[in-house]
Amino acid sequence: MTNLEKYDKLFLDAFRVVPDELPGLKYRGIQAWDSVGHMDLMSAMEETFEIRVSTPDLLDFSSYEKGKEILAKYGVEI
Amino acid sequence: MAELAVWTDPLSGSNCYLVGEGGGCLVVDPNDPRGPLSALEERGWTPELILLTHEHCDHMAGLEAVRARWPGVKTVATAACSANLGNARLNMSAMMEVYLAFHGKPGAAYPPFTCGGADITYTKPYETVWRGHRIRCVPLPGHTPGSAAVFLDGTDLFSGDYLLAEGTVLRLPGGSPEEYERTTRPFLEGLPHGLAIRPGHGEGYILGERGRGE
Repeated sequence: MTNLEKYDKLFLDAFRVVPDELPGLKYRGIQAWDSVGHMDLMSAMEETFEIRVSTPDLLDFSSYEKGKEILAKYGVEI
Repeated sequence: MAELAVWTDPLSGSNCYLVGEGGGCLVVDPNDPRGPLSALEERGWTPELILLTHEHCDHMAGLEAVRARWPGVKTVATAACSANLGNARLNMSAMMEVYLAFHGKPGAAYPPFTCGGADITYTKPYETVWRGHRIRCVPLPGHTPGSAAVFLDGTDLFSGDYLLAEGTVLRLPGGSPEEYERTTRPFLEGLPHGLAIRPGHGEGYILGERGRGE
């Protein structure tokens, strides 16, 4: 599974969305991506990519696209 | 006659309950490395048993501190709770700073941590007696895999993160709406009115008096 496939799967599993909904998906843009959903997503992301993301970056992870930028800082190229 | 004291963590709002009698004490959810110890020492109570309602860090962050201060005190928890104490993702300490930021406390330091497992674990209802008081622990998965209800003498229920004023979150890592619906909701709905609810967050209340339930 590529990093992009892993990354997409995190959203699909956490929020039960379909792939077409991923581009442009934002924090609080859907009901499931609320503060609880965010913690679940971030937790699964750290586990999937085996990284420890700083709290400021976890809080800055505000969209599907922004998340790719943040992961790049930790050596995970999507 | 047992005396009940509560120490509430100002950061997370979680409650640690101390039940003292004859100088001994039950500790339910040691939620902070300092607060519960100070409360115990002020009263001159020695912990004789630690009971955990679930594995989340805001309910057990003081577990190792109590163990270090009073070596040999036994901890009782579900088997799943015991296992997850050693996992910073499932005990939620890895996300606690994010949680606190979302709850109006940005910048609060809460480094991830793990704890050693419980001494006594159970997967089915577990009963014991402490100083003549009957303790009954019932596994109730849903909020976490390791959640439980802890009854004291059939009159008091330490409910952890169930029966809260704000409802119960089932979507955190390890949470299961399916388990909650299958096992836990029916159990909670069958609780008798008049039971003193000692929740993991917020004020205690008498079940039925305020129409509280899940």
